[in-house]
Amino acid sequence: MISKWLKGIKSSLLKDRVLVVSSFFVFFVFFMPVCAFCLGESGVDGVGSALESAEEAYFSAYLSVLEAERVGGDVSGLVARLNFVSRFLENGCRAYESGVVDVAVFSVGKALEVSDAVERDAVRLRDAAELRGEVLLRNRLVLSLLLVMVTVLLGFLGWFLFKRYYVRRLMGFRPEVIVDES
Amino acid sequence: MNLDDWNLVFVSACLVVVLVVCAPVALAYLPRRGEPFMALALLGEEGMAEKYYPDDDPNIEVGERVDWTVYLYNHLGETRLVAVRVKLLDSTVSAPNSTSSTPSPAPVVYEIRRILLDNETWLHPFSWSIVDADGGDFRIVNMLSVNGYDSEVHAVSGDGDSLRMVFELWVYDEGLGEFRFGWGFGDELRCAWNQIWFNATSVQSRASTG
Repeated sequence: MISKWLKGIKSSLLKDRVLVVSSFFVFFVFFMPVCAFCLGESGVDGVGSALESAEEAYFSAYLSVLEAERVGGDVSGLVARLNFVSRFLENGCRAYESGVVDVAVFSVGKALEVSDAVERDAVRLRDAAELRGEVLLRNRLVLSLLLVMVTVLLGFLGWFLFKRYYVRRLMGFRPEVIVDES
Repeated sequence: MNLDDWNLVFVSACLVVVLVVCAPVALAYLPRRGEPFMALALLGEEGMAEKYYPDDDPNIEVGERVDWTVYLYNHLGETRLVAVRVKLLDSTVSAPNSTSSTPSPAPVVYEIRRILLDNETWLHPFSWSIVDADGGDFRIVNMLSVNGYDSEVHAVSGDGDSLRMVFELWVYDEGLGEFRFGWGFGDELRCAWNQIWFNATSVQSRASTG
């Protein structure tokens, strides 16, 4: 009797499993095209918005490079990398317009990656250049002041010594006595 | 020379030395050089200001390739992001206005972007051809290929009217957060643009005139 009961439970569990699996199957069959459509659509739209984000990252990196240059940083390396980014963006844009999504995704990803890296490097360069500029200016000011003081002191010393020599030389001249025989 | 004259010589020499010593600091605060500007030019197929058309014939057939070089020079005093926007104009569309620094209203066919360092010169190849055009007395150019990319256009050439390829120089403005036609100089706006005229023709019309 127990075995019959167990068999009954097993068969009912089996039936439930079959019911659940077949429900999923039906769901998939009818709704998969819709899901695929949505996924496909959001994939393309995703690339479009990723392109916009990549472009914003590119402009942001460019502005950081400008800031670094204005405080005296050497930005030639950063500019070269950003020019590569613009090529990736162009390729991504063309691929997106042509519907070649994987190329677009790759190009956009590369553009974002390099733009972010350039922006970080530009900020570091700006901070280092600002510090270097302050130190350089301070050193120049101090050196200039010291040299001016030394010049003035040497000038006074030189004038004092020259004056002594001049007066001594002048005092060493014997006056010539001219006898008037008239 | 008496003592007073020697005094004057010593004081003058000290002043000169003091000026020389202070020069490095003063130089850091000197004003910049002259007027900042950017230069945009178009060169022919051999990178010179000549041979702009194949066989020096401005009548361009469908499929015939034309090779130019875009020349850019940055003298704005700092690194700048620029865009060269290429437009195809017919007689119905106005060209850019240099007085008001207004761009042409025609749509952009192709865009070149570049970040230029201060005092940098850059050359970019520009190869184009007419991909599709409708025939007859009035040639309607429907598609151009520029550096391998096709762009839809709509330009009418015919009855003595030529087409022109216009190159406009746009500079990224940090304040606006977008590209602007030209660059600021004090309160004024300066701009740079170039154009080259050509005729879109068919093999038959070329044969009839030749």
